[in-house]
Amino acid sequence: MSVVPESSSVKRALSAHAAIGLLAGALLYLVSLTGTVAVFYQEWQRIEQSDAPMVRAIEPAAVQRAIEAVLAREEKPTTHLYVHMPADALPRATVTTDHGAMHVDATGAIAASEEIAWSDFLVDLHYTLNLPSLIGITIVGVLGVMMLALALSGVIAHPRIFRDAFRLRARTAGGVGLADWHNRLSVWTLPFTIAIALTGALIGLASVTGFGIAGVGYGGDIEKVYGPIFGEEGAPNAAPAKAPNVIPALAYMKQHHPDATLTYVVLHDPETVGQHIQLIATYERRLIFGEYFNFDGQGRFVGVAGMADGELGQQAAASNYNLHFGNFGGLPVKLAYLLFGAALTGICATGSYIWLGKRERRGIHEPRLRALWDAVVWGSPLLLAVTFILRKLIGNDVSLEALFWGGMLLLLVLAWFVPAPRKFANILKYLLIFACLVVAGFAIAAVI
Amino acid sequence: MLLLAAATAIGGAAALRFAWSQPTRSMIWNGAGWGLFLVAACSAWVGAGAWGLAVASLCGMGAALALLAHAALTAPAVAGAKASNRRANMLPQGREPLFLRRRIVTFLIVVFVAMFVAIGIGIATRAVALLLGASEANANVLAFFAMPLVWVWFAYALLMEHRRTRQWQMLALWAVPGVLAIILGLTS
Repeated sequence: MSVVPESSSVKRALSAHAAIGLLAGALLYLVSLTGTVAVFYQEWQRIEQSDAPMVRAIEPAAVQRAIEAVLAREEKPTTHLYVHMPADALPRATVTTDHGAMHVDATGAIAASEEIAWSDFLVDLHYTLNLPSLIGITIVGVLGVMMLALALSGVIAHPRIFRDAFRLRARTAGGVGLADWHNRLSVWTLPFTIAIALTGALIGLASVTGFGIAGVGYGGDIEKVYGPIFGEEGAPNAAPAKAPNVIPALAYMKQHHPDATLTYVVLHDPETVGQHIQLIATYERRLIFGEYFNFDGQGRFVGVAGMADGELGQQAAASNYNLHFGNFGGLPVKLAYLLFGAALTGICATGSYIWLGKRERRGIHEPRLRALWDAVVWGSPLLLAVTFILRKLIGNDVSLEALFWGGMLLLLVLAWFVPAPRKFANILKYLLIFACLVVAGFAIAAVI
Repeated sequence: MLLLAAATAIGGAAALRFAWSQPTRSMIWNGAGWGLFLVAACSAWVGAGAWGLAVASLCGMGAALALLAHAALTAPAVAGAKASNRRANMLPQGREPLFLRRRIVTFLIVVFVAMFVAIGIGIATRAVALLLGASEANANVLAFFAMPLVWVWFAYALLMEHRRTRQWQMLALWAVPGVLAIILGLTS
């Protein structure tokens, strides 16, 4: 029995591969590119706001002071308050409410406003394409499904793809080199692609699946779908109360879980009778983003959600995020994600170039289509770099979404009308190199 | 154990590189390559569970990319080599009709209809899991995993099938579990 698919299947798989790739190609490229850059989300924050106070560690009493100081400044009640605990990759203590975020120093005193508009814009672009969150994240989830379908159809469409897995004729012209790059990188990043696409699809489509389950199983209450997995919210009671006391909770963690690294202190409905405290802590050599340790408003331990050692489904759900974002093994894993992410971005870019090249070799020249694709491939990273530069030069309030999408529209219009498409692509490449050098300059200045 | 996993993952990539450079298929080297990957996966799982498996996979892929980089640097340019010109049939050539309506309907089926059927499969998966005694957490997470995986299969299978009637038949058949789960009240 042969495992090689029939030629008609191969042809249809190629058609399916091309149909998905060409329809979703630009968005897949953008999501891959932004995902690759966003692997260093924490480092980008340090570069973007290099003068924020560096806090290597913070005592429980200082955390309590920080919470009380921030709550005292709030003009409206906040439903949640998060304290980002200092980490090696981001040595800062930051308190975030529904209305803003403040850095605090090691004593818990408020030091400065958090100003990371570009880093947040980058992550938002990756998560939701800057669209309203539910629509955007669902579209990105659909892109994850399409990426998996591309991987499947790509393998079927190329019967020799594994046999030729190390054949890379990089310098051979006539489309051979380009096709080899696309196919070889696709094969060897296949486990990474499957992991990234599946976890991305799971994260992105959780809402629509959750609505479906909630509709038939929980009377439309979507929180009840997530409750058994991530733990339930406590019963609200809006009557006013003193700020919660996190000191006993932090002391409990030090005494009972010295091997766990605290990442966040979360307050639910602070300064109400229904308030409660949640601490998120990670463990070495685990994929899970953390375990939820629950405490009441007085800091008395209530229980854990079970992300670390609860049901298998809970552990699997909690592992999605780190596996997707590559933050489960420090700098070496981040660098690996950068490399494989860049490869995946390259695969997305070369796919459409291969299709255009094939048509050109059959005598169908479409300079406008090629120029449009050039605008996407070179223009997207260029605009990311330009928005970063403008954020550094103008300030945190600059409208990065408008700049990026307005710039993208402008480039696409230019690509449509440009008389010399090849020159247009070269100009974009040179501008990209220059912009990257400027960004590198900002990065070096931040480190120094 | 994790070091063994990383080393065997790298060894697996190297063994396959050697196997696939031979003029004829070498069962021994092919087996050695895939076998080393298997040893890497097992030892990574034993050593550090899912985390270990993820790290060992990165080592294997990294080694393969290094071998690819070597191929990129050393492979000579081949004069006159021809790339594949297989038609993908994505756009018409010359005076061929565009079949725009058909393409739009295909898009709507693959994206929207298939999505709803996949949600139904997710709901049915959850119902079956609960019937078999799974916890609520496990059943719900199974549904979350089933939905996109089933949708991937639909996207592939629907695009592989050019007969519209067969596409609808496929979707109708796969819609049955979800509809049954809802009608029979197995969802709460």
